[in-house]
Formats: sequence, structure tokens, C-alpha cells
Amino acid sequence: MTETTNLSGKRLNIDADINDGIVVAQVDGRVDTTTSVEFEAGIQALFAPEHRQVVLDFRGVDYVSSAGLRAVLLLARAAEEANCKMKIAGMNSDVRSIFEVTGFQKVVPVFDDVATALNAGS
Amino acid sequence: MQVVEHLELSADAQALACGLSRLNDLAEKLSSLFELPGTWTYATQLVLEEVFTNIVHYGQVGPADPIIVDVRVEDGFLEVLICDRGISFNPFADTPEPDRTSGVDERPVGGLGVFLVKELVHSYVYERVGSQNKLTLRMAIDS
Repeated sequence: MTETTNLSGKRLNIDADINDGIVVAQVDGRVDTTTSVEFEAGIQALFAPEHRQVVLDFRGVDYVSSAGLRAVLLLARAAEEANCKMKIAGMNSDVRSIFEVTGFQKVVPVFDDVATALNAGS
Repeated sequence: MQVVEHLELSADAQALACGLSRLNDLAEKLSSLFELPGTWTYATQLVLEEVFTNIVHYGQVGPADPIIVDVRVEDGFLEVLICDRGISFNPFADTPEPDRTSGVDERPVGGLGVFLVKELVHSYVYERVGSQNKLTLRMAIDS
């Protein structure tokens, strides 16, 4: 759906599946200084009143820096304004530890996998 | 002390992606050289990205002055020395502790980069020497 390339040759890819008001966005690649703006824009485009839930599937995200955390915070605010519930699922242990040490699980609900995130209600 | 790597990176914001790419490659090369796990590579890339982007965005380094990164090995540690000729700035003393507890509405944007560096390195030292900022970061490699 949205694709961007940074100069290190590593890509950030967002592929959204929308079904009955539920969006599952598969994110692959790195969310760093060079890709965070495109990440934010790509996800924000999915926020709409008819989308009750937007679950970010982070299984394919192997790196998030503070620029990525900044984008996540801005997205969490935008989701609230759009009346969408944003969740993140499937983070690898390295990315998850960055979320935990910065207390970001209080900014956005984090789940082990997409199914658990979806079952946690809207 | 053995110098294992020496990089000179442009402080021009237009060249940020290129500099980051070289730093990412550096972390991967060191990880491979010392047979370190992926978690170490992630942490090292994160530390280098945060420090480098801070200097590029806020350091006011002149266009002709490179940011110099030297990597040395000593006593089971990797020592990364990062020098720039920007304005005098000690990131470890001049930045407030970030809010890590509030929710989405109250959470201020930003301020996490330096915090993450402090969390991920074994030790850090800042010195202003003449017209240079010198950051010395130590990372364990004997894991």
C-alpha cells in the first residue's frame, strides 16, 4: 500500500488488509530517522471513522529508534482524534524491550500477536 | 589500544541517510568481527543513530567539518569516540529525564534518544576539548 526506500537499501513496507471496519497493517522493515515520516503518513492514512481498530502487525519490524517511537506517539494521538483504536502486535524481543524501557506500552496497547490484539476488543 | 575503525561522516542534514547507512554497516561489521548477537547489533545501531542525528540536527557543525567516529577495543569493551566541531553541548547533562510513565494524552513528544543511549551503553563520558565535543561510549563485547 505504501512503500518507501531509505538509502541504506533497507525498505519500509506497509501492507493493509481492511475487513469490516478492522484494519490489520503489516509493517516490514526499519522505523528509523530516515523512514519514520513515511511510516507515520502511511499509518495515519488508515485512520478513518469507519475503521474501529487499526492493528499494526510488527512481526516484520526489526528496528525502531527514538524517531520511530516519536511517530508511534503522534499516531496514537491521531488515532484518538479519529476515534480509532490503535494496537501493536507481534513485536520482536529487541523492539519490545525498547517499548518497555521507555514506557511506551502506556502510549499504545501491545500484544503478542494479531489474534490476541483483535480479541482484546475494540 | 587498537583502533579498529575510523569513519568521517558529513554533518550536512542532506547526507543524514548516507551517514546512518555507514553507521549501520559499521555496527554489523563489528558484530560479525566479535561474533556478537543480533541484540548487540540493534543496540549499537540505535546508540549510533541517536548520537549522530542529534549532532546533525542540533550541533550546528560547519559544512567542512566532518563528524569523526573512532572505534577501539580495550579490556573487553568496544570504545566508540565521536567527535564534532559543533556548539558546546553535553547531551548527558543538558537534557532532562524523559517522562516514561504517562499515557498518550500527557506524554511529551521527544527526548528519548539520549535516554536510550544511557540505557544501552556500559558507560559514557562527555568532554569539551578546545572547539570539539568528544563523546566516549563504552559497550561490552565479552558477552
